[in-house]
Amino acid sequence: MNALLQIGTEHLPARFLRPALQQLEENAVNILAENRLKYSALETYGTYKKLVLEIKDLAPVSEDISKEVKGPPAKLLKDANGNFTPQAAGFAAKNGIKPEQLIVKETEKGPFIYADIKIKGIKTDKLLAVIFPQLIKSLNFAKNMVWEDSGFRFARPIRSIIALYGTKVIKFEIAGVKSSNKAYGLSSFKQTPIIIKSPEAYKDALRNQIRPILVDLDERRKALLRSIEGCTKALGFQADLDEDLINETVNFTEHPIALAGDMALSFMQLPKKLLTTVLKTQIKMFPVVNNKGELQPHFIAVRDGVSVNQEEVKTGFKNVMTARLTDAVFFFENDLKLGLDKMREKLKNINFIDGMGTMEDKTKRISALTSALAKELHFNQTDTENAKQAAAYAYADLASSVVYEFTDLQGYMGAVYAQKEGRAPDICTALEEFYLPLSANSELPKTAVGSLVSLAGKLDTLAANFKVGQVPSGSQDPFALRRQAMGAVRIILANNWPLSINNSVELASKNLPESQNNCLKELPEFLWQRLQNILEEKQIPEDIISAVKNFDKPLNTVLLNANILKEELKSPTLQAVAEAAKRVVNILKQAPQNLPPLNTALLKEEGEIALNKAVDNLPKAEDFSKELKNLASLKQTLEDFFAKIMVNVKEAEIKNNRLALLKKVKAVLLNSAALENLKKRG
Amino acid sequence: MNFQDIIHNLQVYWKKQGCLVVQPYDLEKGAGTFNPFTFFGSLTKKPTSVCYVEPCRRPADGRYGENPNRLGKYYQFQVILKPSPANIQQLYLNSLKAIGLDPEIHDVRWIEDDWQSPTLGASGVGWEIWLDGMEITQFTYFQIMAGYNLKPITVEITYGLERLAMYSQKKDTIFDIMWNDTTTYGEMVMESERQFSHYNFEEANIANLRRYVEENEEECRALCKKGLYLPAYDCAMRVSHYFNTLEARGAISVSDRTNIIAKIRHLAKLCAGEYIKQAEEKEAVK
Repeated sequence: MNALLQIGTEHLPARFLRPALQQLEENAVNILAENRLKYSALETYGTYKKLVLEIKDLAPVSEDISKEVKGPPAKLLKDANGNFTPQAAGFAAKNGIKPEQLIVKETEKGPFIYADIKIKGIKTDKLLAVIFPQLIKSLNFAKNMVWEDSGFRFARPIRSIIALYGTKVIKFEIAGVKSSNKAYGLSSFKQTPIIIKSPEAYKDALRNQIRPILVDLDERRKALLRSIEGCTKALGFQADLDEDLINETVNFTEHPIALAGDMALSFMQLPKKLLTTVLKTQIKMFPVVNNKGELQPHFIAVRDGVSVNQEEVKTGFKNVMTARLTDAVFFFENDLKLGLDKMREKLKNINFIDGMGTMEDKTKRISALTSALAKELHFNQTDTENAKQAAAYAYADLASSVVYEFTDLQGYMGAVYAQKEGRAPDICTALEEFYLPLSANSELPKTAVGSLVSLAGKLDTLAANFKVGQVPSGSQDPFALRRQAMGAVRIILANNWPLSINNSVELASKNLPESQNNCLKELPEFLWQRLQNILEEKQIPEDIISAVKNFDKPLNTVLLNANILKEELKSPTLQAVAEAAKRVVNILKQAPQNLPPLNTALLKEEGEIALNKAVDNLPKAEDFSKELKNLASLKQTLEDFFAKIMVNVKEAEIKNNRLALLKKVKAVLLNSAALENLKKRG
Repeated sequence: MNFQDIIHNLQVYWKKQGCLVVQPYDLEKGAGTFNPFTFFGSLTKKPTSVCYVEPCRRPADGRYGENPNRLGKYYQFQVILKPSPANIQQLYLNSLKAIGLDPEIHDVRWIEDDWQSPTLGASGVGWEIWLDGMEITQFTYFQIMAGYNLKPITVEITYGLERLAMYSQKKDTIFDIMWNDTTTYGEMVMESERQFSHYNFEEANIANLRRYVEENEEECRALCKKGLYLPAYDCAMRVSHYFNTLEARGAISVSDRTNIIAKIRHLAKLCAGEYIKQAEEKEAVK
């Protein structure tokens, strides 16, 4: 038989629906397992008013338990007087049986006490009366509330509960609501109960109402897309099907029905992203585009479950849209009147972070940093000039009315204003690219100028935060500094710029104000961890990453070296040299601090003379790969040395001289990579 | 439907649901929630159901009567029910029918919007309700008032009367709303909007306002000590209004703002505490 639980609520926030359904499913799997209830399948689905769990072929009784548990040795069963010992009694109690029920069994280690446990399964309907309320209580939301006297907490008030096992109602009460077999229709209509005869009849019963409810999310999504397509086909265009908006719409409707309306042509002058942001985020409407993706003067709104009185409703939606877009036009025109220069002046009134000045100060810093980076990276004069201009206006749009209302449009609006003011295309593009990448794997700035200014902005944000002690830890990263650092590292790599971690940090920290909680010294390691993530994604083993770890080499060189080392380590010769390097490092750990310099005259044995000579005669290497090959060539000499030469001899002079030789060898071996960090390869 | 008929019909509807129909409280306030029926009414166990029109003053929102969507003074219709009935959403939808807006043929959406008032130390969980995309009502289950966790829970429904009238009468500006068949909302309020905008933005005497804030704060504390929480709460409301005026006048810095809000919140808590204490004493005598 199947089972069904439906938690009927007032309107849950759209964003709560999917996490709640996921929890309902996970918790159901766990609780059913704890109760030894078998079933064939289980699914959750629902709407903002119905959280539903459906369990297929749920066994009528939970499974019996039959097992023997080993206890203490048999001599502890009874004392001299024939009474059960405390150990035996305790063991019995722990296993839920009486001491008289304990048995003794022979084992290889002699006789032991055993508890022979047999628990009969419990009828499913009885268990469900406990499990269902337990499940409802187990759901966590980002925010809860109280609405009735029992003080029960949930995201929104629970107003009905369906609890069925086959055709039988499983009876319980929670938050003053008694379970039943009654569902309710669309929220704007008179709430007459819909009787659900059995779990398998649930979806159809709701779908077959005069005003259908689609409880399945996929079904609702398909209905939404179909309905939107119906509208756009009639218009001869397409909808801009933003995935987030689709999900949100599916979450806050029980039966989505789209309707199309017109937009005044004058709004088409608004920048595209501004217009679509107003539609999507403020009034949850889909923009309409032609097959080239160009905006058209129409909108698609979605109603919940009703398609009568369309004309009047459409007028209502259109009026709301018109009011919002009129506001947007007002903001936009004010900004155009103000201009980027005036906006930039206002940055002195916007704080960056405490102790690190205003956004005007930050603008000055990234301008200087942009210049320094351009010089370091040998940018030509035109690019340098454009980058400096872009840096000077990078934050100007933060003082615009549009960005004040729609933060997500930062950068984009700056570019729009720059275009309107006739600034160079490279500058406009750089402004638009300034905040990229928006996430760990998303699109990077495409132009060199844009990349440079974007890098300057990120490095300054990182250095400034670290300088005032705002260092991310664990899940605490309120300023999203990990994302900023990842962006900086990715930009350097993508442009193949010869910048090292230390170099970047040094340039970025030059113009920062003094601060008490300076944690700048932690920034190189923080940036390294981002590079490490990238190396891990490229399947570079941990020990190789640690061997090539370097804050002074350009990031790309480090990346390249990691790949080369991975490749070269396929040779057993280099592996053997790495092992020898470890040995050298270990021996030197016990060496005195101030070794006398190597005295070649004291080298007597063939093994040590050969090693010294081999090290001296290593050919010059023009790249990392050659360096590693050179080191590999030392294998035999190193092995001979360790086979024949004793370092810790009695004569202190000889001993120290051999240690000095090893010190010289170590410097050569570890010059290109920290070979001592490599694990032995099988 | 005329503006005055919307008010009338809402009153008739909620009267039928058992609400006491009371008159607005005679002090300036920024939101209906400040009304003592709402503030004190939500604090104790005693059941309550009341409704009233409440004029609200938001000095900073005035636009000299020049912006079609902005007013420095406007009207809310509030319904306060405690405990919150299980069919409250249905009761609300029926109230829309009473003012000629049938939810069965419009699009009614309940959009997550958790209300809070830092000055009253109050917060709640609920929605803003959209009718064909337009926000017409704030619907809140109070959770905390003046810092006290509430039990039982009060539900507060706040209708934006001008929005409802604009929608119902299909007007593009607030000032074109018909108050009755012959008089517009604009005719009723335009001069007041113009004059009060001048007062709030240009003429209000900052030194005096600061003094009023201090005097009323002092008096509020003194009255609370004597158990006179009702006049004390009047003082707290005045502090809040003078603060709003100072803010419109541009005389409040960021740190000032935080301090005064904390001050008002503290006064509200003093009044609430005194009221709860006396209500419990009365309960004990019974």
